[in-house]
Amino acid sequence: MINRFWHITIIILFLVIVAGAFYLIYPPNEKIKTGLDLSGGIQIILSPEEEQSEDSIREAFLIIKDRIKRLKVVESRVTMDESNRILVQLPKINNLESIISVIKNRGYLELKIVKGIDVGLKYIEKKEEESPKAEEETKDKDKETTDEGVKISSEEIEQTTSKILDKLKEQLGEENIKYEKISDLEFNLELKGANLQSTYIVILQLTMGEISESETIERIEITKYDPIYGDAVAISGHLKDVKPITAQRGYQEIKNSVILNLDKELEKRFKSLLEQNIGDDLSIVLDGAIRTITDISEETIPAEEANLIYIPNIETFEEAENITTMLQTGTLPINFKIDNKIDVGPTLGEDIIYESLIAIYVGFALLLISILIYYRGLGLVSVISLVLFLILLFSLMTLAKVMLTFSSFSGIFLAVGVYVFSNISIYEKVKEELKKGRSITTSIDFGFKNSLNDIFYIDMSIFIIALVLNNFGTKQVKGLLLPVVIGSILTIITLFTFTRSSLLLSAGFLQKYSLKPFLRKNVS
Amino acid sequence: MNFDFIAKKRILFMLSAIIIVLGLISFLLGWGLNFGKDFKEGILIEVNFKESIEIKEIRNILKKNNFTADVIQSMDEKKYQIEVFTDEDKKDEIKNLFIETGPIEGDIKVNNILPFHSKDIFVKILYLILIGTVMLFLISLIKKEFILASVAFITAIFNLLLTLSVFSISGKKISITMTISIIITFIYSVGLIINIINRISKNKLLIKSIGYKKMINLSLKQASGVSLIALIAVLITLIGLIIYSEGLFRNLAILLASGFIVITFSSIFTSGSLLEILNQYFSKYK
Repeated sequence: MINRFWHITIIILFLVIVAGAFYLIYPPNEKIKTGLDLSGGIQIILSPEEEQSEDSIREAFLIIKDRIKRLKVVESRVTMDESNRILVQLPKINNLESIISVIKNRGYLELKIVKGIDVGLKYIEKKEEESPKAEEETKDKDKETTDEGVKISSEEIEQTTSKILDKLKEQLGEENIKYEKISDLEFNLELKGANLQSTYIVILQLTMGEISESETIERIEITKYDPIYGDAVAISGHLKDVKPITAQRGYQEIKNSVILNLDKELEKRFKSLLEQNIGDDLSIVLDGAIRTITDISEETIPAEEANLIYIPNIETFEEAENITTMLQTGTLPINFKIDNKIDVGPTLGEDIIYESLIAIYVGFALLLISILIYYRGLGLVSVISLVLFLILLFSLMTLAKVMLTFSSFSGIFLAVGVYVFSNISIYEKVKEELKKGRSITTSIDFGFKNSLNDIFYIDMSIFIIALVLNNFGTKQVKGLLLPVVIGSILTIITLFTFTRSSLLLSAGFLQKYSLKPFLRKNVS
Repeated sequence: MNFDFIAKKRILFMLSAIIIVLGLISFLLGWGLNFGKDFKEGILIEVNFKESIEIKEIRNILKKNNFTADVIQSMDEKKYQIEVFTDEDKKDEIKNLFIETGPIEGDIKVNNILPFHSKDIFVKILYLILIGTVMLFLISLIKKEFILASVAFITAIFNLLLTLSVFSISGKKISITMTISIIITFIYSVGLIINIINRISKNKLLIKSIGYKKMINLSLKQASGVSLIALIAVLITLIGLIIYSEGLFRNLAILLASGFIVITFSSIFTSGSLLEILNQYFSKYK
């Protein structure tokens, strides 16, 4: 009675877990992610921005191939055609844009001294009221207007400009500011020694507030805000190692970063760059965009040559990984533009997928029917537990973010193979016990007990080897072996919980109604 | 079933040797196991039909003219991108084929493309299997029987050689599908081999009562029962794919079916025969 209660509890618990697992993958067409080969994806065609030599395009092609190989995208296809276009096909993934930027961007990293800022400012005139009535009134008054709006008087521009200049002189000193008039409404400022971040705030404050209350000035637009670079040293090509570092939460929150290990040559150049530019700012520039900037002072110069540099404050770890991938694979020798970005169908072909799906269902149905015929009453439990095993396998694959591809489908096939093999091993043991003249219940109990060690040894061997190969293998191997890794553990769990308890419960039923658990000829 | 596995070892080794030699000859003659279209340059065709057309129709047009296209991708129901792996001089022939098929919108773009996969994948897979075989040896050492572990190691290598030879004799080219099949058959053979050495290890106590050879035969009989039923189950599952599907799925099913048949029989016969041979020279059970 206690045993019966125990078995029912195990079955209910198992079914609850399977129900939860089913919820994770339902509806399957939404929850189970499928790859480029099964449901298509995006095709990007990259072509060089300018005419380039065949060699440099080939080099770029190899770098792009390497980058895609290192990215976490399970499945991708890359080729180059005779028109020197690089075709990249990717599955439909959430972070597609960031993946494309890793593929397309040059990945050129340099250390640059920031000597100052080149600022462009432009006065924007207030617009006239747009109602027809107001338009008529304006005409009547014959007020001087331009196409854009109310014209700003040169006096007002002069006054406002000198107000801005005075405030900046207070901050930076007169000798560090160079004014250049571009047009009546536009002027440039060259600010030497200005800090990139703090000066931007000052300029924002100056171009807002009082000025915006002026009668004719709508606002002042910052047309450019570019750093003026001094000495520069290329980091790309001088890296021994690059690693992404995950964000740390604690007393002091540290965002994601990338750590760069410099080679000996760059170590020396880095130190002398710092020594020669005390008082200026040092920036790390990736593909023309400043990633970080710091002041250079006597204190910040390391006593010995420094071999580590960080790119800090990266929003997501994925971005840190992407930067790492770009730096590890090297700089693209040329700039690429996206010629075409288009949805493409599955590489396996919709017609073949449809036919193969039917064939898979037929094959699976035949397997279930064979189990039912061969193992009769007890085969029914096997069939049910195999279906439950598959629900658990798919849900764990979904949790592990395994994309369903041709390769992972093959892995699922192998996982089912391992399950069926283990199940047959147990049933054959049960048969051996029945041959000894034991009752069905005792045979099942003994069969499971005797085969526990065997199944554990076989499935754990498969688990360990698949896990090791999965770690060493290429992306394709990972997609293939992860279902096997998950499946080998699930096999043991499913067989020794649900299958065992269900069999022991149903064995009583079979015995009571004198039903044969196996074909007569198998048990003499 | 009282089959004497060990007594048939000469026949087994002769048969295996013939298969391996034939495999090697077919490989050297370029019949099988040379790099297939996954690793070759091909032609990419972009064609925009004026009216919607089914993929199957495009596939049939190519098939009728002795071209095979493993990849036909739809961009919409009229526009397709087709990869055909054939010689460069066939470009115009393929282009004309589509012009004859039906009204085409704009030009048909035909471009040579580089291979999608590099050839080193196959070598990497073989290295991986070697790592797996060493792992199998180490795991088998748990039974504290060096000979059993050695038998597991040699049987796994032998299984791989036989599988590759069968693929080569049947004229199969190296493809991504083949690399997948090789890994799957290897992992499955791990299960088969471990099952055999486990049985032998458990039946060791019977040596005194029934003798070494009979103990091996008994263990192989027990293991082969499970292996053969499992093989039938696997073949039943694959039969649907072999009969009804096309392309890569069918190719995978054929490779897996042949691989599973080879490793099931090879694991049983090779391990038994090896145990008997090694026992004569190294074992304590003489």
